[in-house]
Amino acid sequence: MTVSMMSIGLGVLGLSAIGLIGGALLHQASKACRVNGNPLVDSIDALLPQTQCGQCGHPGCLPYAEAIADGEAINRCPPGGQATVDRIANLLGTDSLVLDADENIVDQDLVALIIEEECIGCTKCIQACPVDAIVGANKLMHTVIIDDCTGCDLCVDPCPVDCIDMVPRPKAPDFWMPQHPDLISSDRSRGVELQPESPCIRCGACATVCPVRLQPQLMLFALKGGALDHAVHEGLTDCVDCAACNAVCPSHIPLAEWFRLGQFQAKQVLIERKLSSEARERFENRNLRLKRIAAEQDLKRAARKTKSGEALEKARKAREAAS
Amino acid sequence: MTDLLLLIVSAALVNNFVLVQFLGLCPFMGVSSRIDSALGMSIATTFVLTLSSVAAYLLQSLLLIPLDVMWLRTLAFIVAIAVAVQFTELAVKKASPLLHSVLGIYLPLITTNCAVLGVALLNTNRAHTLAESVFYGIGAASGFSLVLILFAGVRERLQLADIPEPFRGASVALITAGFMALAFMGFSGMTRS
Repeated sequence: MTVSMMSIGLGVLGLSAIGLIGGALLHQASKACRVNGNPLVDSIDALLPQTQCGQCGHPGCLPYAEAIADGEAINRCPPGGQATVDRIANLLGTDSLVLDADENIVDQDLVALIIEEECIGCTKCIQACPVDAIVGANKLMHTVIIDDCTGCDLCVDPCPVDCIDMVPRPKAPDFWMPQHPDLISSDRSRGVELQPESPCIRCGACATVCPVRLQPQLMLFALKGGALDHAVHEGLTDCVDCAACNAVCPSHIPLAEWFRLGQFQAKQVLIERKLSSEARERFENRNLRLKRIAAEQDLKRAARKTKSGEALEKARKAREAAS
Repeated sequence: MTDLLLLIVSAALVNNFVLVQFLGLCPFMGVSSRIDSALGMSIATTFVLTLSSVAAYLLQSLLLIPLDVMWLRTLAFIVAIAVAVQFTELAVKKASPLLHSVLGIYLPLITTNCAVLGVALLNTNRAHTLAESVFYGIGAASGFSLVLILFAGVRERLQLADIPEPFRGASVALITAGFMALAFMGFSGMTRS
């Protein structure tokens, strides 16, 4: 097939016209669809632990969330630990990274403790605390409100007498994690001979006996795969720990022990989320207060300036009148 | 009307674009790790497919045939598809920034999704009318969405399953895709073409 010059010219013109029309349409569409800010930041910020510790190199959790939304690495948050990195990776649909931190500071839930007999009441730690978790006044002893402390250790360096230590957070009973989940009362702790566990054969016997009609085998796969959210979605929190599934399992899988452990982990995640939202609130309130105080001081300074200006003016006039 | 319905069934099930004609495999493997992102991808692709089959029909009948420049067909269709995809990307970014970041590179890559160009070219090859083009596009899109979401559901389960080490990840996904293609062969012969 021979293509005439005419046809080529028409083709070029036609294609250019399509391109121009398409470009114009897209330009209008991009004007109409302009997005202000990035709503993704809020979802990321909700996953960060809100310690406001600055170990990621940003002045707080919200700035780091903004940086992640702009493409920064997601593994710079030591207080959040590997769990937070995994959750952010899950949210963004990317591969998880290994936490970028020293091994020894990971997975330790610490709080600040002021050795009260050594405190000289300098208030430097109060100014450093990002979440207002230290009470005290000038030349009076300070102390840490443990429930509000996020363990960011920003108060340790400013202390001139080195009286602040980081200690493990005292555990309330809600935080108790079974160290030996196989100690739960069931057949295997009543002196019955322990059978070695073999792989699940998907017989469904556990689902038939479950009094709350859960699917124990699905929850087990989720827990074994480390997908706690998925297990909760399958109804993990409704499990009543009756261990009926244990009794019928032909593979002798300790299902109830897995569920007990998973329930504790799920509860801890809930508590952590509550604590972090409280910490965020306190951090935001503190920033608002600091801003308000700065504004008030600016106002006072301005008032003083105009006052002294008026006094000077008066003196000058008086001098002129006298001369 | 029956013809149009048959056209949809044919494009969606019998000649499924992904599992029978093996078009659009890139997003099929790439965005199928989670159901919600697969759902978003399905909606975006459906939108682009329907829009681009209309655009391709109009281009064909109003520009390419009158000017006798059929040799520009592929180029002109790609331009129309690219515009449709860019428009979809803007809309998704506005409507759901989370979905936008989850879909990532696969959203602009709809442009080079062979299923989209395939629908446009098949429409012109078979001399479909406007209505037929639209219904063929919708059928292809629903077939793509169905398979993508089914596959995402299977893969979510696979993540928790106890799979032997050498088969983890992409290998078991490809094997599963093969089984699904086998299953879809059961539809063959239900309609002509």
